[in-house]
Amino acid sequence: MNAERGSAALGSRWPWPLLAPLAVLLLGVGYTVAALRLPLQTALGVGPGFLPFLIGLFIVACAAWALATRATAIPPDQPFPLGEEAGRVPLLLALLVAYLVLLIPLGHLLSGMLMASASIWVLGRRPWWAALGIGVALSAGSWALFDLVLGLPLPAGPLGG
Amino acid sequence: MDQLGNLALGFSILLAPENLLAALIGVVLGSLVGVLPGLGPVGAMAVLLPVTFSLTPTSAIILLAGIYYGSMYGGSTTSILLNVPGEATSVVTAIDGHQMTKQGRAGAALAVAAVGSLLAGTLSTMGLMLFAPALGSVALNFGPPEYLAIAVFSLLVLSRLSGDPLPLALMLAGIGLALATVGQNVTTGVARFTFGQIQLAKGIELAAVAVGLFGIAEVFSVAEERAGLPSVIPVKLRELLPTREEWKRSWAPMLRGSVLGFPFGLIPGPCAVISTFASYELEKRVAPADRRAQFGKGAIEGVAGPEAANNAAAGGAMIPLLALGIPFAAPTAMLLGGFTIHNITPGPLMISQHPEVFWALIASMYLGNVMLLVLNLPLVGLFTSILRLPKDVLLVLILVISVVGVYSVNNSLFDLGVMVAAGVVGYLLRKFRLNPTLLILPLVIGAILEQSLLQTILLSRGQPSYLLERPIALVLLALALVVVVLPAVLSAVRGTRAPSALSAAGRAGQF
Repeated sequence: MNAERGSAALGSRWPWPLLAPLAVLLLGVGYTVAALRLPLQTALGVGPGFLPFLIGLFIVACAAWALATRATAIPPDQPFPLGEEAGRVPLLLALLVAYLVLLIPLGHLLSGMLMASASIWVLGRRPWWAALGIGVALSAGSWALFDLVLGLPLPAGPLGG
Repeated sequence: MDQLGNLALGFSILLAPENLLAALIGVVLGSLVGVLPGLGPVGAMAVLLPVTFSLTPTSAIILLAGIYYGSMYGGSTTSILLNVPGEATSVVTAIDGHQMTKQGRAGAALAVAAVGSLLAGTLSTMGLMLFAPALGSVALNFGPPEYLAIAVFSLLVLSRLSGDPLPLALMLAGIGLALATVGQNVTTGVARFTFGQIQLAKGIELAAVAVGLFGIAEVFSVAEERAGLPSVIPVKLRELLPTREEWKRSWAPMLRGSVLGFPFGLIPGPCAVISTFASYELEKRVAPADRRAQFGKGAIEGVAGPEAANNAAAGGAMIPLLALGIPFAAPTAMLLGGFTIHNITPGPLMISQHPEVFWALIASMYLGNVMLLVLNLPLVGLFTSILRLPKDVLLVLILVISVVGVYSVNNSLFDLGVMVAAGVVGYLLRKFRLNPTLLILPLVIGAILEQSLLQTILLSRGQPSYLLERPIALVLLALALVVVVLPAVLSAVRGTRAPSALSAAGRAGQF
C-alpha cells in the first residue's frame, strides 16, 4: 500500500521505471570519466582507453535517449512490484553476505550451516530445530559433493581438513 | 561421406565410459533444471563449470551441452502438468499443453512433446553436423573486420529482439560491454577499472555474473512470493500413449517446427523462445478451420510444433559458437566458458584441431536426445517429484549450490561478492522487466569485439573506406541496421507501436 501511494505520487512527476536509465546515466558518466584517465592513444596505435571511452559515450547516449523518450518496459502507472513477502529478500541478501564474511574464518561446513539454517527459517517459518537440521544436511551434503566427490576443496575453518 | 566417417569417430569416442556418463548426467541435470522454474540452463551450466575442471575437455563439453538441450525437454513437463513453464522456451507449450492435462490427456501431451523434441533434436544435430564445418571453412577467410561486424551484428540484433524497449536494451548491452573492459587489457597490459583490486586483473568472472543474474536473482524473486509451487498431477505410464488421431495431427507440426526452429538458432538473442512463438502462429495459420478454433483449448498441434521448434533452435544455436567462436545465446556463452576453461578456442580451427571434441559432441547430441526420450517419459514422475520438495528447501538448495559452485571456480571470495551483486542487479532487472541476457552476452562478446576493432583499425590505417573492401562485413552491418531500424520505421508508417513477441514470456531471463 505504501509502495502504491509512493509510486503514485512519484509517477505524477517521475515514473519510477525511469530510475533505471537515470542510474545508468550517472554510472555511464562516471565510467566515461574514468576511461578518459586511460590513454586513448599510444605510440603503437589505439590506447587502452579508446574502446571504454566509446562504450561510455554509448551508454550515456542510450540512457539519455531512454530518459528523453520515457522508455520503460513496464507501464509507468504500475506501482513498484513487491511480493507479499518482500521483506525476505533483504534478509536473504544479508545472510549471503554473512556467509561470504564467515566462509574463511569458519569454513564452509559451519558458515554454510548457519546460512542455510537461517535462510530456511526466514523462508519456511519452521521450528528452529527443523531449520537447523535441514541446514546441516544441505551444508554437509554440498561439502561432501564438492570437496570429497568432485575434489574441489572448500575452506575448512576450525574444523580442519 | 567424410561426415559419416567423422561421426563414426565421434561415436567411438563417445562410447568411452566417462563420456557416456557425462552425457547421461548432463541430460538428467538438464531435465531437472528444466523442470525447476528458476535456475535455468544458464545458471546450472555456470554452477557446474568448476565441476568440469576434473573432467577431460570432451566430457566437460558433452556434460554442459547436455544440460542445455536437456533443459528444453524438462521445461515442457511443468508447462504441461502445472501450467508453470520451467523455462521461457516452454511458455507457449503451456497454452495448449495444460489444457490437454485438464482434459485428462497429460500423457499424450508429454509424449508428443518428447517425441517432437527427439525428432527436432536429431534433425537439428544433422544440420549442425552439415553446416558447422561448412561455415567454419568459410570463416577461415574471415578477418578482423568480419568478426567485428559479427560482434556488432549480434549485439544490435540481440538488443532489438530482446523484447525490451530499444534504448533500454542498447543501454544494458553497453553495460555488458563495459563490464567486459574490466581487467588487464590484453593488448597493452594496462589494468582497467580494477581500482587496485588484484582479483579484477583477470576481469569479472563470467560464472559469478551468470549465477547471480539467473540463479540468485530468481531465488530472491520466488522467495518474496507467498504462494508455493502448485501440486503435481500424477501421470500413469499407460496414459502416455497418444491416440492414432493425435499422432496423425502431430507429426507434421513436429516436422514444421524442426525446420522452422533450426535457423532461429542462428539469430542472436532469445532465438529458442522466438521460435516457439513463430511455430505456434504457423500451426494456427495452417490448421484446418475446424481445428483452428481448438488452439488455446488443447490443440495438440500447439504442443508438437513449439516443442520441436525450441529443440531445433538449440541445435542451431551451436553453429555460431562452434563455427565462428561467437555465442549468440546465453547458454552457448556458458559453453564458450567451458571451452575456455579447457584451453579450447571454438571457431573455424576447432574442428580441425580438436576433431575429437567436435565429433564426440555431435555424437553425444544424437545419443543424448534418445536418452532424454527414454528418461523423460517413463520417469516423468521422478523428475516432477523434485517439485514436491518444500519451496524453502528448494530455494536454499539452489543458494547453497550456487555459492559453492561459484567459489570453486577460482577459490575466490571476490567472485562470491560479484555473484551477490549480480543477484541484486538481476532481481532489480526483473522488477524493471528488463532482460538479463543483455548483460551476459556482451560480457562474453566484448573481448572479441575489442580485439577485432583494434585489428581492423590497424589494418585500415584509420580509413573507413577499408570496409568497402570487405563485403561480408558490410552486409552484416547493413543487416544489423535494417533489423534495428525497420520495426521503428514500420510502426511509424502504421502509426502503431510494434508489439513484442517476448513480452508475454514474462522475461524470466532463461534464454
